[in-house]
Amino acid sequence: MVKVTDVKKKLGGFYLQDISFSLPEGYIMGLVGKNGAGKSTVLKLLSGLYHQDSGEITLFGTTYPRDEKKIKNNIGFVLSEEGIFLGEMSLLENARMYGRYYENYREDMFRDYCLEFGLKEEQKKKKLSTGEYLKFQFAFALSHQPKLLLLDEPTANFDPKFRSRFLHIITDYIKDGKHSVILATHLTSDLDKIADYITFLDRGKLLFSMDRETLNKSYRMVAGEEYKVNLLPKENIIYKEKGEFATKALVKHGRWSLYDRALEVSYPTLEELMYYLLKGKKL
Amino acid sequence: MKITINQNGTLAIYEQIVNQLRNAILTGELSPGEGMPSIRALASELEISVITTKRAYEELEKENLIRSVAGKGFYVCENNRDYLREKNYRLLENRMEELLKDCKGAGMSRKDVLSMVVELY
Amino acid sequence: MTGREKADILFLVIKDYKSSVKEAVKRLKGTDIFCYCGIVIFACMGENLDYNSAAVIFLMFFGAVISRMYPCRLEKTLLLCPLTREEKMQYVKTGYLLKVFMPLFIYILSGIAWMILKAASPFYLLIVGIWMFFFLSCANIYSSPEPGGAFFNEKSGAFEYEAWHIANAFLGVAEMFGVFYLPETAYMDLSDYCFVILVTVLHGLLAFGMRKRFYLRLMEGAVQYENNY
Repeated sequence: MVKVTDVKKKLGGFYLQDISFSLPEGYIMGLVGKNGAGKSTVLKLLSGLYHQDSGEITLFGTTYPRDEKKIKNNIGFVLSEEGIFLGEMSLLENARMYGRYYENYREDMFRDYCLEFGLKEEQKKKKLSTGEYLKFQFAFALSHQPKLLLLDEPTANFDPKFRSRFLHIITDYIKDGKHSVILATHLTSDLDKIADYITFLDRGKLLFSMDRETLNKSYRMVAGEEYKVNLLPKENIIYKEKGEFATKALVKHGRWSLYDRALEVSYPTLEELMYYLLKGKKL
Repeated sequence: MKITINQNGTLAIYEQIVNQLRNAILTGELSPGEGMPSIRALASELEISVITTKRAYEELEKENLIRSVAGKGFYVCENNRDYLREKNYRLLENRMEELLKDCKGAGMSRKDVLSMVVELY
Repeated sequence: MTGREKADILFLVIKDYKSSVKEAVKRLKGTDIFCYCGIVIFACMGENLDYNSAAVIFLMFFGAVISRMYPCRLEKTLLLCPLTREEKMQYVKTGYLLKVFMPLFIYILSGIAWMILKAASPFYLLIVGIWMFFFLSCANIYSSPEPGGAFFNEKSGAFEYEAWHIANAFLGVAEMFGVFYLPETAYMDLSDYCFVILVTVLHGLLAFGMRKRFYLRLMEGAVQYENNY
């Protein structure tokens, strides 16, 4: 459904280089990395706002700009960027105005989502808070029934209650195996459970892109006394950090890896992975 | 059937699913020949990733607890349930052995262990 | 494209205008304001300042400010919506025409009123109208966020673009000068006519040249996200 091959993009002083990943139909991809890693740029490339300098982006089996209209009909966006939709108009007017361009826009769906998300459809867009603005974009995106949702840092501004509702909506959305989601975020706790694929960017470079279970098979978090940690094969330790009570380390996990029983071994969360991989920079 | 996911546990999410589904099969809650919930439905229900759910099903398939029917989904195997139970008991026995070793290491007597078991059971 | 679709586009462009005016006021630079104030003060020193020329200052001023305020670019949401290239072009072209013809339309309405009131001669109104048209069609070949935005990729292009704009500004000033210092039609002598004809021809050539050189590139630049936001 989404295939990105060797994409390069230079933007002022920022350089996105050699980005490749793919996402099949029916899955959720988490795009993670610190601020400025290039997540938004990747989403803008996918949504057709930017054009890559080189490389190829294939969406639904076709490319920009040849089938721009077809691709965009199937993309729903929630972008953390100001100035999308007209400020002076109400939410419903906005949705009506831009919904006309989409083949499958359904106003009743939009109104239902507004109701569900606690948005007032007669409110002017400029009066929305950041969280509401994102909810509004989300409602609009869902109401034209796209095949691919591109979400840029949506959850940071959601309250906990809506956050869980949001996770429910997107897991339900991909349930039929025909829809996909790409979710960029630096808050990885949401992704820990739901993401099928993780694409990890750092300062414009791709660190890795793989599915969640391969990731789980490849790394372990080890905690315990320092000398015990030091007994692990050096080449497998990606990064270790001495804490007050225990030394924690991220290690490469092989099929036959053995760990001392005194060590506490666990699966790393995405946050731990991001932190230790960036510190260790040894992949 | 109820499956709960504890995100902060030391067990991986797929292991939690495997354990709970295995128990459901062994206790007969899921009867032989019965269809399993589809991977996508279960993933959506639990709000976990499809890939993780898929891995759990693969694991159960490897244990010969379920089998996949092309184009239809997964079904609980009509295996000899006693055999499976036996296997599971052996698995638990191993874990018990490990546990007892730890108890001995902690200086617990046979009586201490028994009373602890009685109290906790 | 049907009439209804065109009307829809116009409606959306006007809405977009409205909502971006506030933003645009913030974008107005100190130098711009200084420049416009200068023109107005300079004009007010004219010897035969009357109601008519005051209105012309206002319109010129208004037209120029609008062109600076509302750069030629496709509204952000539309860049995300499923539109073909032709449809997008239709939007930015409509926006351009609106910016040229809105001030002109107001001028024509007031011009008709003046003619009825016999406050100005038709020749005088016609000439100012033509000047306004040339001036606005040049001034609106303007892209954001910086002057020459879309043309800045090639340095020489940006330089040339700026040179055309400066020429337009000079001719605009000459026309302002004409508006305030030319006598009534009846008292105009040969040198006055020469001045009018020279300025009109030069401005006409300039407008034609700018349109040929920049219009399409501007429109192509305007339907892109990069350079515009």
